[in-house]
Amino acid sequence: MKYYTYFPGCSASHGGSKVYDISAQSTSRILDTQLIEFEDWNCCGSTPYTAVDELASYCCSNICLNSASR
Amino acid sequence: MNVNNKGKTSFVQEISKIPGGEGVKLCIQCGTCSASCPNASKMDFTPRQLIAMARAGMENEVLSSRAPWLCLSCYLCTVRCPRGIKPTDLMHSFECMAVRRNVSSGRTYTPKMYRSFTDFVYSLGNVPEMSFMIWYYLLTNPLRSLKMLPQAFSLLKRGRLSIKAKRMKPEAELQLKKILDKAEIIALRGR
Repeated sequence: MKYYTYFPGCSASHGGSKVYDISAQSTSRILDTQLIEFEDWNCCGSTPYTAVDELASYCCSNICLNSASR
Repeated sequence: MNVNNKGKTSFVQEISKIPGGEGVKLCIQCGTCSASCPNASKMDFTPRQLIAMARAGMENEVLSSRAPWLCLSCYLCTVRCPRGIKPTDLMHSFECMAVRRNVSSGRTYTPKMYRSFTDFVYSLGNVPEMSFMIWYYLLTNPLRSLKMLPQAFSLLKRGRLSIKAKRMKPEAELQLKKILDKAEIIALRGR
């Protein structure tokens, strides 16, 4: 059994793309891996953020990477 | 072509500095980007026109256009461009510039939607879609939300719209706020 850090993001965790989360989880089960959602993830700084403040959106994604590597 | 060359860097030079905008001078105006764009029919200027205008130094017209705000970020233009220009990245940079220079973009609610999105990231760290949409309609025109009610109900019925929001730990939330504050200060200074 392999373990992977998992970042669902806003949409997949509690939004309209819940289906992607479900299929990712079930695929990982078949591949004998486990996806572990890391604690305290934040927004990935997606398109709406990039358009308003580019630097802040890069900050967002880097905070995520930082907390995932812990 | 240099329209405003009085000590100020011209618009074209400014665009060339954007990652993905280096190729703007190489554009051959083939129109592949406009033909690929699924939203081109709703734009006042197509991506090809926008690049031509940017090269001609029509700064105000480009930034006040609503075309960049209608970009869906599908990246079809970026994939298909024969000259390796990244029109999607250019569009987002135009949006960024328009926000920074307070240029009002004609008849589109997208800037307000993006603004409500960033409000949520700042206060919660993530974006609960339902509250985000409610906040957006409150900021713009609450009456328009009535039109979306049937869709909201069908999404709720299938469990694709959750009401409760995920909260981060208070320390993590505070840390995020500090970093975003600092990013804003740096961005303001760089203006």
